[in-house]
Amino acid sequence: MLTIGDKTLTSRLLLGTAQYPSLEELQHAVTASGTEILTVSLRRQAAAQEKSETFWHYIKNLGCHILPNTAGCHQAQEAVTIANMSREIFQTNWIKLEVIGDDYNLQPDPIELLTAAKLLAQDGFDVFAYCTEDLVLCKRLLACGVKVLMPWGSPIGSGKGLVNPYGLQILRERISDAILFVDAGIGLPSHAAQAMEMGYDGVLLNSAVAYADSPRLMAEAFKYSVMSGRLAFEAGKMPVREFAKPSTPTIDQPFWSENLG
Amino acid sequence: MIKVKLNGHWISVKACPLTEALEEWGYQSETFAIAINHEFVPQSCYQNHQLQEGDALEILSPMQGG
Repeated sequence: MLTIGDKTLTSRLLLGTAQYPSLEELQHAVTASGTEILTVSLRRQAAAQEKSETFWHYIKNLGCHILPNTAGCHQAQEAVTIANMSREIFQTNWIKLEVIGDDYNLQPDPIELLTAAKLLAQDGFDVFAYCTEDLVLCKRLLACGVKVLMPWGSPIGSGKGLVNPYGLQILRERISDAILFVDAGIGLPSHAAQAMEMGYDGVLLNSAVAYADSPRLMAEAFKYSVMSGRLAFEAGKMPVREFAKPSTPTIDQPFWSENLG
Repeated sequence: MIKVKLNGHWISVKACPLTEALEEWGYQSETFAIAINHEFVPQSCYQNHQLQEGDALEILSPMQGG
């Protein structure tokens, strides 16, 4: 079980809603994933445009918590404006705060991110901050009231998995009392399991499921990998050694050891 | 008539409260939110918000997102 504010969740998988072949495929994937949190965005709407209405109708009926994002924002003030618009539409204080500093790899801008996070937290938002694995930045974000840290595994949509597992591991160990999700760059269920084995509280992904040949099957695969990784973390891993250590007891071995030498 | 920028396109509209302009433009659903000149305008303020020459409006709705 995972608790975020007043919400208790049984799934530790968060799913994005973009890039699916169809709304039906999205619906099947959401169901198969077991997710309870879906990310959405806001985009320009022409008058009498039905596409947005249809999408929102689908999403509402899935019964998940909604996590609106500020994707596409480059300045703190833009993100604050989008967050306020999202709060009015989606009736939630949750906001996935994205403030991009580089368009090539969609890396977060730490300065603008921190500025926006402060303003939003002061205004009663529950901020889920999309960030890097920078420990100092993450501590500053928490200090200004961020509810959930979401360091990237690798650039959004890259599918490269966890490119800096050392940094992510250190971040988890140094910040053990806050909610941390790995967000972005997850390409395979094994990547998600790796993050969960480190002790991350969950993972957020989109492209890995949406671009799969079968989004529904991949969603199900991620469901089990996240569960598996979490169980492994809770079980506690064995110590790593440099050399072999026989797993079968060596005491009272039969005759072949007597023939040596 | 005044000129305002609606979702990136300049259009002409009479100087009027926002509610009237929305009706004229055909925005009827409740699933949109508005920012004018980069500032959020809550729904409760539409009636009293008077459009001005050169205003830049963003009318946004739910869409797929990651």
